Amino acid sequence: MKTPLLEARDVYREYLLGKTVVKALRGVDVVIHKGDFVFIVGPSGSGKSTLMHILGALDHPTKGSVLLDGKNLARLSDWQLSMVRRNRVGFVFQGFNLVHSLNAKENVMLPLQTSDIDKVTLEARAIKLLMEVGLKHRINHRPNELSGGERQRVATARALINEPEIILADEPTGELDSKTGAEIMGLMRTINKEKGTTFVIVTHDTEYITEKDKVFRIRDGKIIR
Amino acid sequence: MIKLALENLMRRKSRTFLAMLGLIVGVMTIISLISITEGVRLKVSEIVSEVKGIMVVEANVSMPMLSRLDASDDNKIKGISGVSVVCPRVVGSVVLLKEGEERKSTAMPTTIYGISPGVEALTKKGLLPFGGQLDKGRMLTSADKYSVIIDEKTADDQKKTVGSKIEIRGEKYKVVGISPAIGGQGRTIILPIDQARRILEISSDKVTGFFVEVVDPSQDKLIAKKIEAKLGNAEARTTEEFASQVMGMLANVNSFLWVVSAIAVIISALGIINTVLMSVRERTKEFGILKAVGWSSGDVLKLVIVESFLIGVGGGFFGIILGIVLVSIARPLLGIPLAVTPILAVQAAVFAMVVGALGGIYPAWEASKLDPIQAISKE
Ligand SMILES: Nc1ncnc2c1ncn2[C@@H]1O[C@H](COP(=O)(O)OP(=O)(O)OP(=O)(O)O)[C@@H](O)[C@H]1O
Ligand SMILES: [Mg+2]
Repeated sequence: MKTPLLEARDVYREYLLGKTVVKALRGVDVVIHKGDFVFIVGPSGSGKSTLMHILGALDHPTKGSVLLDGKNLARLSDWQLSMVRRNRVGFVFQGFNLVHSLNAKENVMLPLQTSDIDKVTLEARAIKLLMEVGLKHRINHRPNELSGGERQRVATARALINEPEIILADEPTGELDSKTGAEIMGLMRTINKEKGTTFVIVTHDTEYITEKDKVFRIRDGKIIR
Repeated sequence: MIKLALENLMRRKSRTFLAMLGLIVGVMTIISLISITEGVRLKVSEIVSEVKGIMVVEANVSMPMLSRLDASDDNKIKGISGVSVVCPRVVGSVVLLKEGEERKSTAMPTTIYGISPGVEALTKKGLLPFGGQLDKGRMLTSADKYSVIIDEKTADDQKKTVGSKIEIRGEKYKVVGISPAIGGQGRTIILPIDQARRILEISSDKVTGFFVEVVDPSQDKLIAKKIEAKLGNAEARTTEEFASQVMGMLANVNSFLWVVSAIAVIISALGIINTVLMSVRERTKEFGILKAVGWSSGDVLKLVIVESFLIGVGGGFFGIILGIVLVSIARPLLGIPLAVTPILAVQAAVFAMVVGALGGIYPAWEASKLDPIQAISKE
């Protein structure tokens, strides 16, 4: 059998809130292969974002392991983890997490600002991506000058800038009307088909899910069938 | 990275300025103080190299002006072998009023030098009690009575030139020469010793001191001792000793400067650490995002240190400019040829950059250690 691109094995994530332990994930197993278009669905507070952060090398499991290309992320150094985030993963945060002081274009360029790519190429690529997500006229706007949906699209463009192998998108259509939502989802499907980029998408909008997609249903920190 | 850091700083102008402020003040203070002591040192050594001799004043007086010696000591000093010329002098100060001006407590006093032109002319340096040459006009001669030499500052103040009359304590004098500004502040008048005694109310058998020239300058210390022994109540100093005394004082000033500089370093470093740290803490979320999208801890560290370093560059730059401004304001006031030397400016600039970069280390470390998810969830 082929090695999965990304795999979570019996992942637990617990938070200590004062004296109480919050169990956000309770033994999650997820297997994602290259080229997959995966959805994660579940009620609010079920642990979707927590799982995404762990899959995206942003957070560590309390117990269990995450394997990228069969390699345990826990074995990587802090610097290697940042290289994974910079070069292999694109992340669309639920709260967008744009830098307020930077405009749309600068936010999109951000992940590769410290790379060797020359600034002209980088800037051109950022502008191209912003056009693809329909923000041609918002390139120099700051986040607070953008609508929720526009910010979400900037966040999506930023996740695409490093041409990652895997994109983790936490509710990428949550703030969008059904038309732009469908456009963004369509863009993702196109990239998935053309470049073979793997997508893991958290969503409430089940209408975007097709027969062929892999779906993980999560409830109370556990994957249910 | 530099461009990004610069943009970050430009976006937070008041913060950036605040961080720079300590450094600006520090650099400015150090630069101007060092330039001024250096200027004084140069001036003193210049005067001393021109005037070689022995100054004799009354023992244990705090100021030369308060010294009183008998005019007849003149002969006693002359009696010592190796002495070539003895110049009796009277020094004091008066406040000169411009025409129609009311007396003010803030008015600058004018130093009055009373000399015997005939004797002074015998010295190697000629007439001016402190060496140097006249700008305009002529020296005093023994025939002069109501004649004076004034310095250029006094000439400016009183709008006088060679040939003008000047009133001192109700008597009119003719300006025969104009000298360069003397000993810093300027405001000096040189006139025959008898007139000076009248103006300063010193009795005719007294002087405030003597300037003694010796045949062999290498013997001057020895002769100074002999003068002290012979007069009993006098203190005789060679101009070199006098200069080294001043230099000694300047050395004290110098160590004081080091203390001031050290304090300036500490204050400006603390200022930078504090403001950069505050700015880092305000930007926790931003740094969390940077790390989340793939910046390494090292990248974040570098960004903050570069920002802080640039604050140092800016602080140094403005500090040096202000220091130069301050020094050029002080130059005419002190009458000393001051300048911020390029070496001093470079030292100050390097100092500012180093303080900037060092000040950024701790805040940078704090920013780099942030956990991305925790930092992001902060609002
Ligand atoms: N930093 C934290 N400290 C304590 N508890 C946390 C923390 N982050 C998440 N949790 C808890 O973990 C659980 C899962 O949170 P998570 O954000 O993963 O939910 P979610 O499925 O993404 O919800 P939503 O659909 O509302 O975004 C929640 O009960 C939440 O309160
Ligand atoms: Mg969530």
